[in-house]
Amino acid sequence: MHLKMLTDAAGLFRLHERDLLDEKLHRMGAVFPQLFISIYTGNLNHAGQVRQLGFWLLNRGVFQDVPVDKSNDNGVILVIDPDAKMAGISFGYLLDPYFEEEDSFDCLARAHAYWLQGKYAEGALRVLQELEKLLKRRSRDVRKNRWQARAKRGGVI
Amino acid sequence: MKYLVLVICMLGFHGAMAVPLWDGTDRKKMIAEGWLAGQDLLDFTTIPEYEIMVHVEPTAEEAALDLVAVEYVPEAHIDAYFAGKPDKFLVDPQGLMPRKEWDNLGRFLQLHAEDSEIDLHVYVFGEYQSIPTDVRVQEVPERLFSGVKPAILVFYHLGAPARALVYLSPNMTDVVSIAEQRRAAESALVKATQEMGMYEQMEEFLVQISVRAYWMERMLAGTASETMDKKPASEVKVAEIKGAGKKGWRLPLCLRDVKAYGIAGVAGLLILVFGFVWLRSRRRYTFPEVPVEARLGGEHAAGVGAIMSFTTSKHSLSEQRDQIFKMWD
Repeated sequence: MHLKMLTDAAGLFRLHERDLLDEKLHRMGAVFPQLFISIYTGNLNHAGQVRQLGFWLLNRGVFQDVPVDKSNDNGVILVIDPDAKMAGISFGYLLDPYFEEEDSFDCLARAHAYWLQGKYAEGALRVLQELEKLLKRRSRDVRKNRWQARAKRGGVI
Repeated sequence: MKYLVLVICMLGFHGAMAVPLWDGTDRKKMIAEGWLAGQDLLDFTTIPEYEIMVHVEPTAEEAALDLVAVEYVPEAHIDAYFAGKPDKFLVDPQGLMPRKEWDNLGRFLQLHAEDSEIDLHVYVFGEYQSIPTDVRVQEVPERLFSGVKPAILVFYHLGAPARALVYLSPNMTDVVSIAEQRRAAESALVKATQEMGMYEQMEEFLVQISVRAYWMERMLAGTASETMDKKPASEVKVAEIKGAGKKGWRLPLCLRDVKAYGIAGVAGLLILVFGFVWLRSRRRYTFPEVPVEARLGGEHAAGVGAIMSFTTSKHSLSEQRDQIFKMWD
């Protein structure tokens, strides 16, 4: 399946909102050079399928506007189903050791109030902001832990 | 009939107002005295040529006599002026200045001394007074100001700024050239002559000297980027000290430096903050790649991540969160 980083199959976003989100996604791709973050909106007609779709898109999807050196292992995808009123975040194996389900729920929780009112773009933007904040914190923690471990062992990890 | 009466009256009036005639003796007497009233107008006699006033240079003897008449500073005050280094910056033992002006200028000089590495001593003399030649004014700086804080000495004649003499203490003369000293005095004179009152002139003169002292101070410290020769008087920043001694509120000299440091500090802080923000925005975040075993047949991901429902506000976030973690417990 061919996708872009922002695939609005459900048509939730207006043009300027799409531009805003697209810019944010690319900026995050620059801040986290290993990662790419994407958004998919579509009508899945079943609540339970949101997580499965995220799983499937990351494993089978081809993201056209993502640099080739970024594997799908390094992806994070936000899936929004406006009919089922469900949203989910899935991430590849790269973030497995650093990013927990609780973290992804915290990101989604930022958008809850907006999505209740049908403000999908604003909600998605809040999710991305929270995600960026959490990823930065995790990266700093990892670096700090590595340095501490190196200091303890007296060598390079 | 009416016209006839008018003509008769006019004839009678003409007879009564007949022009007087000179009596021969009176005329001779007036001529002898050298003045005859109306002679030029009435008699059309020759007009005497006026003498042209010619300025005649005084002879050497007359000049010598004038020199004798020069007003010198009274002998009684010479010691007060020149016996030792003055305690105050404004030296006026003759009491030529009014108390108020003396206070104002004295305060200005005091503030200048607190603010500057170079003191400014002002000796006040009368407009026409001269310093006795045996005092040897040019030796005063060396005699009184050797080995002390650098100082500028101004011998100022009230009401005659052009007669002012400016000397530097010996520890400054090596650094500040004669040409620059002259330029300082000239610029001060230009400023002073723009004022009308004698005390305003003096104030302007000293303010300008004070400004020049700032540049001399920088030259002494070796930090002056341009000499006073290159710096015309009109370009000198007078604004900071120009108002010194005048009425109205001004920032004290001691606080002006604090203000400058404050501005520099705030600017430095802003640069630091912007630099920090810029560096932070340029920062890149990475994660070490740790090998993870593939799960659920997923080549790139295992479908890990939370889901959230936003059907109604009744299905609260905390309830959903609890469900997630109960599921994993």
